[in-house]
Amino acid sequence: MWIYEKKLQFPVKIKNPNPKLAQIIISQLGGPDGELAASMRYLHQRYSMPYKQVVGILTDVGTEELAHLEMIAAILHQLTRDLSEDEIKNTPFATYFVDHTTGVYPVAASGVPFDMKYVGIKGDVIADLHEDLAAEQKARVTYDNILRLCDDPDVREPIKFLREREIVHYQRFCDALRITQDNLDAKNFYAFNPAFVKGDGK
Amino acid sequence: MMNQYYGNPYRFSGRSQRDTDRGDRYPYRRPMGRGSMPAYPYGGQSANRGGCGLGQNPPRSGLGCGSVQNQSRGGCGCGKEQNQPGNSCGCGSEQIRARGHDRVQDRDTPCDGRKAIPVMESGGCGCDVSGGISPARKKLMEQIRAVDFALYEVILYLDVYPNSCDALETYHKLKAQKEALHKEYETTYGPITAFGNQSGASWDWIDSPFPWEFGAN
Repeated sequence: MWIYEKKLQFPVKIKNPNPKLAQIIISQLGGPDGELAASMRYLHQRYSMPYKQVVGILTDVGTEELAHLEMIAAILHQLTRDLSEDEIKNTPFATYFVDHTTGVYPVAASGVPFDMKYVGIKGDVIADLHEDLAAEQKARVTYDNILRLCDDPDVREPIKFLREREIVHYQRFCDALRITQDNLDAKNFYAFNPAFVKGDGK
Repeated sequence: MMNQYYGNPYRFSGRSQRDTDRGDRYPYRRPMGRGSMPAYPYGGQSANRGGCGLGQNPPRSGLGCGSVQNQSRGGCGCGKEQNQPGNSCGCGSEQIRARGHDRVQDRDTPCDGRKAIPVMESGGCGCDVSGGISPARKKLMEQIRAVDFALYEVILYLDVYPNSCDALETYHKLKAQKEALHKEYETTYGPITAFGNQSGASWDWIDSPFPWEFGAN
């Protein structure tokens, strides 16, 4: 189960609300490569993993992604506070505002709500770990894109932190993949699927 | 089952005779005047636990919600060490002025404990927007963030390299530091987890700002 700590992993203190920026950053909340997709992916993949190191890393990285989800939500919450109607009218944020006011709702920047179709869980160690590697890189690219579009230093600091964390997660998943390959038949990685072995007491 | 362990099962039917008995009504904040364990909201006889204050509802109105207990927590939630008088129970007498909310509760009106406790973005107790938590609290929190972050990095590393003795040693060292810092923070400023509630007198978990608020960072 999960215990909640009443602190953000990295502080978020945004002095200047900016709904246009919120419209972009919301992709890391409910978009295809966002933190919600990442946490759902890792926390659900771990159930069919046969190796303890892989289960462990998926659990802990998945938990950290939930923390990042909270950070993105904090950024969005602070970017959309104290808004006047003029700041909302005629901006891309208006289409989000009409349905959600300034509530935090996981959608992509395009307005498409979060979808589990973004998450791949194949029940095969190699496939799932490769999905994770790709996911971390895609998240890193999304953060790169956000940094290109964002000037406010208060927003850039937590985004840069999150981007670095994606790279570190990628490295940990590379380690997990290497450990997995060491446990497989060196001549043929695909000789059997260790996540689905009949009659093996697993 | 009317016995000393389960309490009177009819205690939920009808209004309590004491209009200050908050026992089974939200919020379940029951600061205890005697330093005893806080009453579980549905717990036994409320006779001696009376409502929102000391043993019996104190004759001073406006402070009926237990002025004494929240002193170190600053009921207004911005984390100020000393409590502004009249706001112990968080129903917000003078302090709710943030962001144009002009709900100044009359001090002489006894707190009835039924008002929802507002989330106060800007630190609540009249702190301006750039205020929020005190510099000392911010500094301690930064230290905690740093140690917790390093600890989590070691955890991720140990997940994939569980046999690394160096990493394990680092883990234990950082864990000791983390526990010391968390303890220091929790005794002064309030709990970090719901299990960390220090004060037996009141439920501080929801008192302090939540971490996504501007004034909490």
